[in-house]
Amino acid sequence: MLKKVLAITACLILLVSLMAGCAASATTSTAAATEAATTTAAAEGKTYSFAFLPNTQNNTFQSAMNDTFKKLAEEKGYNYVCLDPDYDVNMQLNQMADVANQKFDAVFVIPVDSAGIRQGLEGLKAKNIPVINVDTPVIDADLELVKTVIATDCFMAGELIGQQLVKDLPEGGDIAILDFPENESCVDRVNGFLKGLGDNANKYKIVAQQNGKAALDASLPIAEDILQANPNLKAFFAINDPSAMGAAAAIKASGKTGVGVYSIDASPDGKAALLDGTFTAVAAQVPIEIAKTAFQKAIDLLEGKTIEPEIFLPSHLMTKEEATATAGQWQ
Amino acid sequence: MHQKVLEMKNIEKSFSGTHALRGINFDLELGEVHALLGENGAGKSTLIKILGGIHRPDSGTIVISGTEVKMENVHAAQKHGIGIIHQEIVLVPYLSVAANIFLGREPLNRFGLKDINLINSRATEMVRELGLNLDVRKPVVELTIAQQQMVEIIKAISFNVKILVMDEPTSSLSEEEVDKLFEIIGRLKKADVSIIYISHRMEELFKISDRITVIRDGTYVGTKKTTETKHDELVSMMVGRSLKNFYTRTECEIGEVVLAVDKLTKNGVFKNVSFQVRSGEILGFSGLIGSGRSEIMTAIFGGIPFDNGDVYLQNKKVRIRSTKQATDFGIGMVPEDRKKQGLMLNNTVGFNLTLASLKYLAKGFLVSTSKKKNVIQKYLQDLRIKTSSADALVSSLSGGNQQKVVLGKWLATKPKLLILDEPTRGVDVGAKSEIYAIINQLASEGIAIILVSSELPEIINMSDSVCVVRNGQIVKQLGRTELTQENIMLYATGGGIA
Amino acid sequence: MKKNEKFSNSMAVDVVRSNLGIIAVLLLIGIALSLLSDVFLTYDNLISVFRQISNNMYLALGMTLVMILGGIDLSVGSIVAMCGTLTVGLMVTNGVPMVLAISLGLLIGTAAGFINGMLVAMFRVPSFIVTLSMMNVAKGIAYVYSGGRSTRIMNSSFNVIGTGYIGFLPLPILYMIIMIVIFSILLNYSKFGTYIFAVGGNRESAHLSGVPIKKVEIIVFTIAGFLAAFAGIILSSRMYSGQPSVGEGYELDAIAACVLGGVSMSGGVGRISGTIFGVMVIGIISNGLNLMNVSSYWQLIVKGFIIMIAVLIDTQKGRQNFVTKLLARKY
Repeated sequence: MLKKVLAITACLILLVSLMAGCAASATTSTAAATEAATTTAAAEGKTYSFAFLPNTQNNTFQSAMNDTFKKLAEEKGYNYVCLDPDYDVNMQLNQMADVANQKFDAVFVIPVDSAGIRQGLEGLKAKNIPVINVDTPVIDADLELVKTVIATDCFMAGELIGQQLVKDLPEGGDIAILDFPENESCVDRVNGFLKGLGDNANKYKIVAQQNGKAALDASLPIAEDILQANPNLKAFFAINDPSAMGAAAAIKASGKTGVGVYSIDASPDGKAALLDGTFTAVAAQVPIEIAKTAFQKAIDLLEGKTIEPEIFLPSHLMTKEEATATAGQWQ
Repeated sequence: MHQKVLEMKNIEKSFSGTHALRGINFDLELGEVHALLGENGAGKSTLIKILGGIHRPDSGTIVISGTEVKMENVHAAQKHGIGIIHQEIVLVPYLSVAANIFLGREPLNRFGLKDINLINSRATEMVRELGLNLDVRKPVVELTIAQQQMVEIIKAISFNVKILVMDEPTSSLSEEEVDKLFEIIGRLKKADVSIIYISHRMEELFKISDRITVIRDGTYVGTKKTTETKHDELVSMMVGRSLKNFYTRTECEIGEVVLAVDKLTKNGVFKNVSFQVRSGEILGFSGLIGSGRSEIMTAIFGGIPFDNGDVYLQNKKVRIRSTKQATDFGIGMVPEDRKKQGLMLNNTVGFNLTLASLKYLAKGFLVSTSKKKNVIQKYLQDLRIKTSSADALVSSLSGGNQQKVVLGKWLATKPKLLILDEPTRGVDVGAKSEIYAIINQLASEGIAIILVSSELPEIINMSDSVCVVRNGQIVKQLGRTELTQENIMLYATGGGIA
Repeated sequence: MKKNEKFSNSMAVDVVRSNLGIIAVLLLIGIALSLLSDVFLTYDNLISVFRQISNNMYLALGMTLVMILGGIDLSVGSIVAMCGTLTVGLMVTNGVPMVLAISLGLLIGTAAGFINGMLVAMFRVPSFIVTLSMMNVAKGIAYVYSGGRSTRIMNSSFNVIGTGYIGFLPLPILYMIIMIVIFSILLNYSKFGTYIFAVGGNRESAHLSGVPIKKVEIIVFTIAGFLAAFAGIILSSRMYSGQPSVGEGYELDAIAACVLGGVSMSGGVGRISGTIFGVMVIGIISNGLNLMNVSSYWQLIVKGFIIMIAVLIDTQKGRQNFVTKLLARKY
C-alpha cells in the first residue's frame, strides 16, 4: 500500500514538474504578447512595430539587447515583441513567417544559423519588411536580403586584446588559445588577436590552440592539460568569457601564478572576474550599443534615409573603472 | 494409517472467467513420491502455484500436517516447508553456486556484510551431503544443465523443506543424470521429505513414484497406486480416451540417398562421423547429452564450421557454409531448444510459420500477402495447430502447438531433408502422438528425416535405424531389429566397445 | 595476518585477470603517450588527470550499478547540471547558507534518482524511457531556475570543496577513492550487492528467492541520482559557477566507461574494478591528445576508434572464454 502511494506521488511530482516546465515557457510567450500590448502607448508622430528575433534568450548578451530594445520602444511608445527560438533554426523560420504575416515595420534578427535562414528572409522581403541583422551576420550570399549588419567589431576586439598582451608581456613567451572555429565571429576574434601581436608576433609561441567550445565545462579540462604540457605558459587567450573562466579555474586548480587570462566579452561575470583579478584583460562586446544603433537605424530607414550596409561598432578594452561603474550589466 | 503431510481439498481457481481448476483433490504422505500427471494445460502448474503461494485459490482448503493454512505469498509457502523446483531453471547465471543457494537469506558477519566464507563452507557441506562434487564458487552459468538442476534441488531443500515439488526435473537431463537424480530423490525420501513429482515421461513415474494422481482439464480424474496401474490406463485417464497406436510408423518406400556424410570432423567436438540417410527413411541419433549429436547436426546445417570431411547432397559434394545455404539446399532443422532457437516468442504464429520460407512467398522485393495467408492456413490445418488465430502470439500457445509451429515453419520451405532435434521435448502425450503421426506422414512423402532424441522409446519406435553417438563419434549404427533400450544404452555409455 | 595477506594478494590477481583486456589497452595507450609526450608521466600531470576523471568516475560508479541491474540511466548528465545550478543559485541568488544549499542540491538529485527508480520498479517502464524523460525534466529545471544564465560564485569555502587539497591530494580525488572503496564493498561484500547481480541476472529467480527486487531497483537508481548530484556540486565548485548548460553527454561517457570495463548492456555482469579502468582509459585518451595539442575534431575520431578497439578486444576475450567453456562441456 505504502509503495503504491509512493509510486503515485512520484508520478505526480514528475507530472507537476513537467507542467511547470511547460507553464514556464508558456509564460514567456504570453509575456511577449503582453509586452506588445503595454508598449502600445499613444505617442505623437508615427507609431512603429518592431520585432526582435534573437538566436536564444538564455544568455545575458541577448537579454541585454532585449532590455534595451524594450526600453527604447517604451520611451517612444512603439510596439515591440521578442521571440525566442532557443537555438532551433526551424523554430526561428516559423517565427520569421509569423512576423512577416503580422506587418511589423522592421525586424532585428540574430540568425541561429548564419546560412540557414534565407527562406525566412525572403518571406520578410516579400512583405517589404526591412531586416536589420544584428550581432552575427548572415552569410555573404544572403546579405542582399538584409538592410544592414550591425555588430561589434570582433576583429578589433581581438586586436585590442592582442595589443594589450604585448604591453603586459613585452618579453614574449608561450601562449595558448582557446578558440571556437564553428563560429565566424570567434574566428575573427582570433585573427584580430594574432594581428594585434603585430611586429612582436615572433616573440610569442602559440604552444596550443584548442577548441574550448565557448563553454566553461569544456574549456576547463583542456586548459588543465595545456598547463601540464606547457609549464612555461605565460597567458591564455580565450574567445569569450565562459571559456576564459574555464582557463582561470584551471590555473587556480594547478596552483600556478603569473599566467594571464585574456578574454573578449566583458559580460557581467567577466567584469567581476576582471575586478577580482581573475582576468588580466578583457575587450568589450557592446550588445547595448548594438541595440541602440539598430533601433535608431530602423527609424532612419523608415523615414526614408539611406543607411550603411555594414556597421561595425568599435570594441574597447574594459577598464576597472568602467567595470565598477557598469557592474552586473553589459555595455 | 500413514501420516498425511499435505491435503488439498476441492481447490478451485479461475482466471478472468475461465476455470483453470474445478475441485482438485490431492494429498501427500510422509516420505512418499506422489506423481502429478496431466497434459499441458490440465492445471498442474496452477495447482503447484497455489501450493507455492504464487496464486490464491478461489475456494478449497490446504491442510499441512493437520492444520489448515493460508498461502498468502511465496514466503508463507516457504515457512510451511514447501520448496518448488521450477521446470525452467531459475538461477542467477552470473552468481556463484553458493550465492544462488543463499540468495535472499545471506548470513551476515559482524560488519553487516555477507559472510562469504560461511556461505561457501555451508554450501560445500550441502553439496557433499547429496553426494555431489561441485565447486560452489563457480558461476552457475558455467555448470551443465544437470548440475544447475542439482543446485536448484540443494537450494530448495536448504529451506528445511518438508514438501518438495519437482516440475519436469528430467526434461533436459541425460539418462545417466536422471539416475543420479533418482538416487538423490531416494535420499530425500529417507530423510522424510515428501515429493510431488511432475513429468511427462511415463517410464520414470513407474520407476520413482509411489502413487500417481491424474488431472485433466482442471478436474480431478483419480489417484492410483503405481504398482497397481499400467501405462495405457494412465494415458487413457489423461486424454480421456484410450490412445491406440501411440507411435505411428508405417512402412515407407525408401528411396535415393539424400544426404551422405563422410568422415566429418571438428577437432575436439566430433570425429570421423559418416552416415547416410535416404528419402523416406527416419534415421535416429541417440547418445547422452553432451555426446556431440546436436553439434554434428548444427555443423551439417551450416551453423558451426567443421574442420574436415565431406557432405554430399543427392550425390553431389557440397560445402555448406551458412544456415542460409543449408535452407537453399533443402535442409530444414527443428532445433533442440524451441524457445531460444526455434521461435520468435514475441511474434505471431503467422510470422513464425512463414519466417523460413519468405523467399517462396516473395514477388520481387515484396512479400505476397495472399500467398502468405494461404501458407499459414495450410499449415495451421495440416498440423492441427490450436491457436485463436494466425495473429496470436506464439508464446500464448502450448508447448506442443509451439513445436508444431516450428515444424510447419520448416515444412513450408519444402525440405528434402529434415533434421529434428528433440522434437517432442516438453510436449504432452496427446501432442506427442500427433507429432509422431506428422513425422510418419512426412517420411511417407519421401522426405529424409534425421531424428535426434534422448527418449529411447521414441527413437526405437520411430526410427528405421539408429546411430549411437559417444564422445563425438558414431560408435554403432543399429538396424531396426537390433533396436532395444539395452542395446542403445550399452553403446551410448561405452559398454559395447572392447 | 597471513591469511589476510593471501586474501589481498589473490584479490589483486583477480582484479588483473578479470580486467586483462582493458588493462592491456590502458597500458598500450599509456606507453604510447609517454613516448609521444614527455609531460604525460609527470606527477603533476597524473594528479591533473585523476582530478579530471573524478567527475566521470562518480557517474560511472552509479552507472555500473544501474547497468548490472539491467537498466540504463540517461539522466545523470542533466542531474549534474540541475544540482550544480540549484546549489550555486540557492547560495548566490537566494542567500541560503552553504551547508543547507549543498544538502538541498544533493537531496534534489537523489529525489530525481528515486523517481526514476519508482517508475522503473513499480510500473516496469523501461529505464531508457524513464531516464530519458528525467533527462529533459532535470535539464529544464536547471534552465528555468537559472533563466539559462550561469551564476558565478566566489564563496571561498564552497570553492574549496572542489579545488582544495588534503596534503598533496586534491579533494575530488580523495572523494573518488572513498567512493571506490565504498562501492567495491557494497557490490562485492554486501547482501545488497548480490541482490543487484541477482535482479540483473535473472529477475524472476531473484523474486522467487525472496529478493526484494523493487526495493533494490529503487535504491540503485536513487544512488545513481545521488552520485550525479554530488558530481554536479563538485563540478560547479571547480568551475566557480553554476552552469545550466554543463553535463551534455556526460551520461554517454559514463556508459562508455562501464562498457569498456566489461559491464554488460543486458545486465547481471560487471565489476567496479573494470569500470575504474574504463574511466581511466577515456580520461587518459583526452588528456594525452590535449597534451599533444591534437585538434578536438581529430580527438573525436581517435577516441571513437580506441573505444571500438577496446570493446572488440574485450568481446574477443569473452568469445574465447565461451569457446573454451563449450569445449570443456563436451568431455
